[in-house]
Amino acid sequence: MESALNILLEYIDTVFFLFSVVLFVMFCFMGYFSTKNSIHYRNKNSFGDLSKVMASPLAPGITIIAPAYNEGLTIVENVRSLLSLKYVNYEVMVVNDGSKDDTLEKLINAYDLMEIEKEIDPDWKSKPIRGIYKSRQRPFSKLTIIDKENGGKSDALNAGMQLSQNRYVGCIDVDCLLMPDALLHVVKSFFQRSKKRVIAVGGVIRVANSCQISGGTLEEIRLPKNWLAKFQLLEYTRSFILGRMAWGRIDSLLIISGAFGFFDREIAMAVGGYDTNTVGEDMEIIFKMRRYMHEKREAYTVEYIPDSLCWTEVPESASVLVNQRDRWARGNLETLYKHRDMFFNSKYGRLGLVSYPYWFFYEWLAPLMEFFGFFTIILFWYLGILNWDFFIALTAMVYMFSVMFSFYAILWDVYTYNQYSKTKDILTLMFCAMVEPIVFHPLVVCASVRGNLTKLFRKKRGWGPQVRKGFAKAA
Amino acid sequence: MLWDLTLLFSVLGALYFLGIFYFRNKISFRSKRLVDKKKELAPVISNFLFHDPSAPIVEKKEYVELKINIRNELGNPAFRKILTEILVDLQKDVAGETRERLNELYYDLNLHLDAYKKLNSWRWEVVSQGILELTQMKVVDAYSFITKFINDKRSTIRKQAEIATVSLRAEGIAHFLDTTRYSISEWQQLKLIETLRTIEHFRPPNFKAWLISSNRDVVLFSLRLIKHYNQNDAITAIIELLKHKDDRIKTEAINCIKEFCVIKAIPILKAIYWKTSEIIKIEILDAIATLGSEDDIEFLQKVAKKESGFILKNKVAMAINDIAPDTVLPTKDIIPQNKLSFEAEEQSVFGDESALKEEVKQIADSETNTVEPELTEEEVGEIEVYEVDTETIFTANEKETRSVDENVAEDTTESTFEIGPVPEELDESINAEIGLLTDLAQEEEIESLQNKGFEKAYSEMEVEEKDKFVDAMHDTASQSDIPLLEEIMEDEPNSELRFRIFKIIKSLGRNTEKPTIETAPDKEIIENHTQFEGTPKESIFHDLLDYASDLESKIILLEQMAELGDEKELPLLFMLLDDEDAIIQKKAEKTKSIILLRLNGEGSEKSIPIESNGDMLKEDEKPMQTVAPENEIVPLEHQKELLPLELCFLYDELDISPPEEDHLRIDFDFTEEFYQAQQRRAAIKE
Repeated sequence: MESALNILLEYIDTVFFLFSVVLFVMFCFMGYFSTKNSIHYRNKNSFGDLSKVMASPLAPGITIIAPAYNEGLTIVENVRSLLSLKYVNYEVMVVNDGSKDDTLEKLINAYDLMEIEKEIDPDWKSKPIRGIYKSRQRPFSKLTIIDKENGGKSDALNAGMQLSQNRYVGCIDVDCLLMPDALLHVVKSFFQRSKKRVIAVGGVIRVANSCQISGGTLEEIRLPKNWLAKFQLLEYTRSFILGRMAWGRIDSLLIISGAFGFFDREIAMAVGGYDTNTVGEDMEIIFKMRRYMHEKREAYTVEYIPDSLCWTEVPESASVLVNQRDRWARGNLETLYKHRDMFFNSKYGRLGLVSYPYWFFYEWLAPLMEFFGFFTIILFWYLGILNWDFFIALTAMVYMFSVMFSFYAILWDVYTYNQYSKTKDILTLMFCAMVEPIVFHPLVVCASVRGNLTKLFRKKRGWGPQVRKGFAKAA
Repeated sequence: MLWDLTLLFSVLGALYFLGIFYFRNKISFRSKRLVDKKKELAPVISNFLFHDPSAPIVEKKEYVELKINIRNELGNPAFRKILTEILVDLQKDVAGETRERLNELYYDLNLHLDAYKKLNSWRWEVVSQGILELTQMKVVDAYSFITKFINDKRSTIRKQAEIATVSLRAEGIAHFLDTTRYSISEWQQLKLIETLRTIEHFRPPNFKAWLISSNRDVVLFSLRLIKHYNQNDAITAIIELLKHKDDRIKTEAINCIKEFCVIKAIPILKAIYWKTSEIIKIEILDAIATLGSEDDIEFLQKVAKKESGFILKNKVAMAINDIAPDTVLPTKDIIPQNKLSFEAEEQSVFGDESALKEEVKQIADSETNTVEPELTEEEVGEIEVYEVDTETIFTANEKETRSVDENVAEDTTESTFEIGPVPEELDESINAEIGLLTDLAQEEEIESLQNKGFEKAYSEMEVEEKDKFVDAMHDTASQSDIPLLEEIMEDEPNSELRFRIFKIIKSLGRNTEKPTIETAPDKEIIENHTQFEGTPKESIFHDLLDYASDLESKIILLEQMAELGDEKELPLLFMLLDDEDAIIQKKAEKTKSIILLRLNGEGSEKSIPIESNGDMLKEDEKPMQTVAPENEIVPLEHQKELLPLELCFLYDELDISPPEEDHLRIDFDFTEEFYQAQQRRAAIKE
C-alpha cells in the first residue's frame, strides 16, 4: 500500500515537475522571440511617415464593425470617436443588436439618420435585419447603422461583415477607443507583405481605466486607480508585449482580441464568419481562417501590431472579472474541442505541433492543474506526507520566475513605448507584479475552473452582464 | 537546484528592475538633450537658412563666425549626429526655397558623408537610415549609390532604395521598373505613388512599356500608374491582360477599362467571365454596367439564369438596370399591384368596408326606428335601392375583386420572372377593372345615405343647438347643402326654425341663378360643350391630333374632319379654338362652321342653332333652354361633384381621404367606348 502511494507520489511529482520545466522553457523562448520581434519592429518602423499615405487613391476600403447592445449611455460619444480616425476610405458600421434601451433612438437623433433600402441576401444566416440607416449629414457619411434582432455579438459582427462591401473589415468593441492613426497601421500591416496574404491583423489592447479622455481623444495616460484594473494592466502588458509578440514572430498567433481585430473579408466570409455557438468567437475565427488557408495551400500570415492603438476599459469589480474569465475559459474549451483534430497534427505545421498544444496545455490545462495542485498540497499536508523543503523551494522558484517575467514585460514596455511617465506608476506596477501571484492569480484560476465546470455540466450561460463605467466617467 | 533557480530568477528580476530605470533615464536624458540642443542650434540654423548675401557687413561677419564655429564643432561625431537629426527633422516642416536652403546646408556641412558611411554598414537598419537621410535631404549625387540597393536581399533596405530612386531623379521610376526583380508589396506601391505625386513638374514615362514585364508586380504597378496618370494609349495591352492568370492584374486591367471607357473590351470581358473567380465576375459585371449597351442585356440575362449566388445575381440586376433603367423591378415582398390599387381605391371611396357596413346598418336601423317623414317618390326609391344594394354592392365588388385577382394572379405568375417589366396590357386591364368599381351610382347612394345620418344627428339636437346650427348654416351654407337643408326643413317641428331654414334655401337658390353664361363669359365654351353631351375625347380625331407631330398633319386632319365629321367632333373643335397656334384656331373655326352648316342642312332633330356668323347661339338665346321657375331649385351640374358634408365626416371618422379627382376616370359604358376608340385607332394605324 505504502509502495503504491509512493509510486503515485513520484508520478505526481514527475508530472508537475515536467509540466513546470516545459512551461519555463516555453516562457524563456517567448521572452527571446518577443524581444527579437520588438527590436525588429522598432527598427523597421522608424522609417517613413504613415500620414503621407493617409489620402492615397490606392488606400483600400475598411469597414469598422462595432456591435452595440444597450449602449445608450455612451454610444453617441463612442461613434463620434470612431468617425474621427485619420484615414480616407473607411466606413463605421454600428450594429444595434436588438438593444432594449434607446441606443438606436440616440443614434438617429444625434446623427440625423434616415432609413435606406438595401438588398439583403435571402440566404441570410444572421438574425433578421430591421433597418439600415445612413446619415443625411455629409460629415457623417461614413456612418452606417444596422438595426437587427438580438442574436449576440457574433451574429451582429456577421451581419456587419455580410453588409460591408470593403476589402477589409475590423471587428471592435464599440466602447473601445481607437487611436487616430490606427487604421493606417492596420492597412500597412495588410499591405506590407508581397509573398504572403495577410488574412487578419490584431493589436495590443491597452487599459483605459482612469485615463483622461476628452471628446473621444486620449488626452493623458494614467495608471488605473482601481487595484483590480492595475493587476489586469500588468496581465495585459505581459500577454501582449511578450506572449502575442512571440507568437507573432513565429507566425503562430491563434487569437486576435475581439476588441481590435481586422480581417480580410473574403476569407472571413469564406469560413462562414464568426461562430455564433461559442463565446470564444474571436479565437475560433482565427482557427477557422488558418485552417482554411492551410487547406487551400496558399501562403498566408496573421499580423500583429504592438503599437498601442486600442484602449479599453477593464472590469473593476471581482464579479464582473470572474464572469469575463469564466467566458474566456469556456470559449477556449469550445474552440479547442471544435478543432481537436489539429492536436499534434503535422498537416497544420507549427499550428498543429506548437500553437495548438501550447493552448491546450498552458491556456486550458494549466489553471486546472494549479487548482488540482493546490488541493493536492492540502491533502499531502493533511496526510503528513508533504515535503516542506521541496514545496517551499518549488514555490519560491515559481514565484520568482513569475515576478521576473512580469518585470521583463514592464522593461520592454518601457523600452519600446514608455507609456507611464511617472516613476510612481512604474513602481506601482512592479509592486503589482510581486503581489499578483498571491492576490490576483488565484481569482483568475478560480474563474477559469468555474468556466470549465460550467461547460462540463452543460450549464447554459451566455456573456454575462457587461458593466462599464464609460470613458467620460473614468476621466 | 530549485533554490539555485530561485536565486537566478531573483537576480534576473533585480537586473530587470534596474534595467527599467536605466532605460527610462536614458530615454528621458536623450530626449532632453535633443530638446536642449535644438534650442541652442535653432537660431544658428535660422541664421544660415535666412542669411541674405546682400546683408550689412556686420551681419556677414556674424554669419562667417557662426560657420567657423560650427565647422569646428563638426569634428565631434555626437554633434554631427544631433545636427543631422535636427536638420532631417526640420525639413519635414519647411517647403520651397527654405527647404532647398536646408538641403544645401546639409550638403555644405558635409553631413551627407556620414550618410554615405552608413550605406556601408552591415546592419540593415543603419543602411536604411542612411538611404532615408539622403533621400529626405535630396542628395541627388547619392542616386547612383542607392540604385545598387534596388535588388538587395534585405527587404527594408530594398524598399528604402526604391523610394530613394523614384524620389531623387525623374527617370528613377523608369530605372526602378526596369531593374527590380523582387515583388513590390501593395504598401510599397502606395508609397511610391505618393512619392511620385510629391515630385514637382513630374512628367511620367509611358508606363505601357512595362506591361510586358516578367515581374507580375511590375505589371500590376504599371497598370495602376497608367490609371493614375490617365495614359489611355495602352488599350490593346490592357485588353490582353484581361486574360492574365493573376486576379490582381485582371482586376486592375478591368479598372483601367472602366476608367478609359474601353467599349471594345466588352466581348473579351464576356468571354472570360465564365472562367474567373467571383471577385473578378463582380468586377466584370460592374464594367459591363458602366460600359454596356442593350446588346449586352442578353448576356446578363444568361448570367442571371446560370449564377446562383446572391451577390452575383444582384450585380446582374443592377447592371441591367444601369443599361436599361427600370428593367428589373423588385419582386420580393411586393404586394401585387391589382391588390394594392384595389385596396387604395376601396379605402378612398368606401373607407374601411366593415366600418362602412356598420355605418350603413346603423343608419338603416335609425331610418326604420324613427318616424318616417313623408318622402318624395325619388327619395323612397333611393333608400330602397340602398337597402337592397348594401349587400349586393359588396358581394358584387368582392366578386369583381376576386375575378380581377384571379386574372392578375395568372398574369403575375408570368411576371414573377425577375427580369422584365410589368406588361402594359396588364396595367391597362387592371386600371380598367378598377374603373368598374367606382361607379358613380354607388357614390350617389352613399352620399344620400350619409345625408340621412346627418339628419338623424340633427333631429337629436336640442332646440338651442338647432338654433346655433341654423345660424351657422346661414353664414356658411353653400348650394351643395340645399338638399340637406330641404330634408331638415321637412322634418323640423319648430315652425320658426323651419321658416329660417326655408329662407336660407331660398337665398341659396337665388345664388344658384347668378352664375349665368353672361356673367361668366369665359365659361361659355365649356357650357356649350355640355350641350353636345360629349367630350373632346369622343371624337375619333382627338387621338389622331394628339399623335400628329407637326402642324401640317394637324391641318390635314382638320380638313378630313370637315369632310367626315359630325356633332361628336364639335367639342373637340371648340377646344381647338383655344389652341396656342393661330393657324389651328382658324382652321378649327372653319371646320366647325362647315360641320354645323352640314348638320343644319340635314335638318335633323339635333339641329344646332347658329348665328349668322357661324357661331353657336349664346345660352340665353337657345330655344331649347328650359328656364326654371323662380321658386324651383334646380341643382347645377357641377353640384354633383361636390363632396357631401356627411361624407366628409365619414372620411374623418374613418381616417381616410377622398380619392383625388381624376378627370380621366371613366365608368363602364365609357370604358367600352374607349376600347372601341382604341380599336379604331389601332385599325387606323394598321
